[in-house]
Amino acid sequence: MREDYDKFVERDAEILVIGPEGPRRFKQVWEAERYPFVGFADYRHTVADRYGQEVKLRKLGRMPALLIVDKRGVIRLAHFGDDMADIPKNKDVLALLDRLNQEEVAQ
Amino acid sequence: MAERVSVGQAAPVFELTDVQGNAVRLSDYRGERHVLLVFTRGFM
Repeated sequence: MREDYDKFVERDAEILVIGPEGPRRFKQVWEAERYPFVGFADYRHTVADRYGQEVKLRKLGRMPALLIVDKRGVIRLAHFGDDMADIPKNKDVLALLDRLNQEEVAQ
Repeated sequence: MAERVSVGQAAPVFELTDVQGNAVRLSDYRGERHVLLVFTRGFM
């Protein structure tokens, strides 16, 4: 997602990454990796639970999830991964953002 | 297990502190930007 970050920004989108680590560990990784996204340590899992991120003990923890919330605050994509690699492709997410922006122009 | 949210529903509100120490609410983006929420497994 990092390599396409500018394409997301061009489409009026911001990327918020929410992870289960504590604030210190989260900040450490964030600064080392220089991620351009907004990052949050949701160590109490309050937001993850509110959105329904799944925990699979046999797969050693939380499954990835990706959602798109449009400018009106409505969920337009909700993808809950079945395994670590199960996340939507950037090109598909960018295409959905294009559609949302076209809808906005048409309104 | 928490119930999954689904397409078409209003996104649950939240406020979290980002890595810079800023309080950020989902509603801060309302009317301004689409938001991709990426829930990670955690850093390995």
